[in-house]
Amino acid sequence: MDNVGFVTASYIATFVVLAGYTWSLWRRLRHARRNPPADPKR
Amino acid sequence: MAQSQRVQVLGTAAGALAVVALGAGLYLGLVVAPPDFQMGELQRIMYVHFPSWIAVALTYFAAFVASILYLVKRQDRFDYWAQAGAEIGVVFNITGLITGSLWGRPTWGVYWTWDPRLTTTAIMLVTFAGYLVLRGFMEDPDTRARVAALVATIGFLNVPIVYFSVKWWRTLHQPQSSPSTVDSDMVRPLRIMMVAFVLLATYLMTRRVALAEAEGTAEREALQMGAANG
Repeated sequence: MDNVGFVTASYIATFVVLAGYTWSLWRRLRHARRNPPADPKR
Repeated sequence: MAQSQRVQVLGTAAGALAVVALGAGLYLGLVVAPPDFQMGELQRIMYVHFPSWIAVALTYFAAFVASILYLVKRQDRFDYWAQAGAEIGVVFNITGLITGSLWGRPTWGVYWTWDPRLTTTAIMLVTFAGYLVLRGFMEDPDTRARVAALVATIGFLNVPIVYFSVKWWRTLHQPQSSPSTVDSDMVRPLRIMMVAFVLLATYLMTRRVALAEAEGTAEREALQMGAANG
């Protein structure tokens, strides 16, 4: 199959990482705006 | 409209354009572009691998410039941009390394080798991931921003070394290709995906800056309240 599996894995990994980070960023941003942390550690 | 609001509007526009560009780039790269005559289908990894590194260069450069500006001007907003650049850079650094490993296994026979290009990119990831970890250990916001700015500035010195590593040392990783030697059906999706990743990185940075601003403001308020009460 001419390494189609490696190509598929590359695209899935890239978009899972990017979508996962974007989702986590949205969640953190929403949380920070609604509930300002008392002791934010960054 | 306040400057931070303008940045967020710009970020939203970049995000919307990124979605369109990603759609076009994926269609052209996975459907229209022909397989490479030597690498076959494997070459299609390039449409996500190379754009990842362009996004890495952009975001780490943003972290570097913002860190220098923080050290000179001592304004919190530059620290916010620096941490946004470092964090988004780490994300794209990870996708660049994963896609590179998945390309390396069928090409070189190994997922990883301590080649100069691979090693310098791994050092870059460890440096900026360390930058993020370091921030979590420091309580005082001014000390944290100052130390972090120094780490990002020194860490960025590795970025040009990564770029030139394929020219300076004998390496498995091939040097940069010239668009003039590549089929235009392959160059087009590569360029569109580069634009898409740059737009996506821009969108993510604006949102990460907004998060840093929200956290920074809350932290300053908490410190002022603590000082007033104590």
